Amino acid sequence: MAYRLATDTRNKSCDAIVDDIDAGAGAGTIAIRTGAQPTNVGDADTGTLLGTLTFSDPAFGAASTGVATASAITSDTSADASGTAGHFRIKDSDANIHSDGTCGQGSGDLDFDNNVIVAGGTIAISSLTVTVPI
Amino acid sequence: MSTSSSDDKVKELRELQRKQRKALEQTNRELASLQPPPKPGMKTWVGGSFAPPLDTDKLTRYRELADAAVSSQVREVLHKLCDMVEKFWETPSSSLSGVAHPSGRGLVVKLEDDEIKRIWDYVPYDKENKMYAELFDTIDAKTDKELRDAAFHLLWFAVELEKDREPLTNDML
Repeated sequence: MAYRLATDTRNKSCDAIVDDIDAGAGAGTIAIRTGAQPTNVGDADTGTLLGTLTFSDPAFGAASTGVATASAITSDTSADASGTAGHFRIKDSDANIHSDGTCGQGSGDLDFDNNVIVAGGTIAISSLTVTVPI
Repeated sequence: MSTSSSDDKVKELRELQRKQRKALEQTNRELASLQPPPKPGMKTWVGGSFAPPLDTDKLTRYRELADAAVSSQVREVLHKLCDMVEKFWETPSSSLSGVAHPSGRGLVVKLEDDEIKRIWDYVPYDKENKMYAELFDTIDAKTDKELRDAAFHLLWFAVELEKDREPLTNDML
């Protein structure tokens, strides 16, 4: 039998992960950038900043069965630059990196059905979830 | 062989290519649905990009920028995409019903089949759009910002039209 986590443990783990986005006085953010992710999640930003979306504060509701669902994410209604979305970085309001992932079109952790970003345009993200496995 | 007979054969070939492309896309969708679920902790999120609207004044300016571009490749592709937009503007808006955009913002309206056929020769394939993205990424974001913005604006329209749908600009949200 494989190693397993109890539901309560999963919930606590999941809450700890997502609550870390709320560190600082304000709401966490998701920055959409060009190019590949930095080599390590703690490395400095790479690529060009295309736009920044803002989490609600708190960003996520309480986890249930190891899954936390984000509250509404405020779109960026005036993208900063033009380019192809390559990766995203999540930070708290003190600009501490929380996590990152890939962007793609029909692929990636953040899947844009059109990953071309145009300066002055709008960038939106659907409701998202974070899962801690059994 | 008469010219009209040749034209008919070309049209038949293009229609066959279009049907083959659609069949391939459907197969890929079916295969994707068979993929294993994402790794725990890493859930696929869905994003949407909605460009500003495009009008004749902007398109005129984009052609001016294309003419002034140092790179002949950029110049050629930009004019090609401007031609695509102008051709698209000749067609009436789709009368089909819309479905929710995957990002949760706005409605996606598919183009009607006749419209797709009318603009078929002007709309790049997906792999061409990817090549254009790499080309446009060579345009300096600081020294040639206006050209870069124009290029990606046109490319955004190309991606939308390649998906056989009405471009959903941010003023339509």
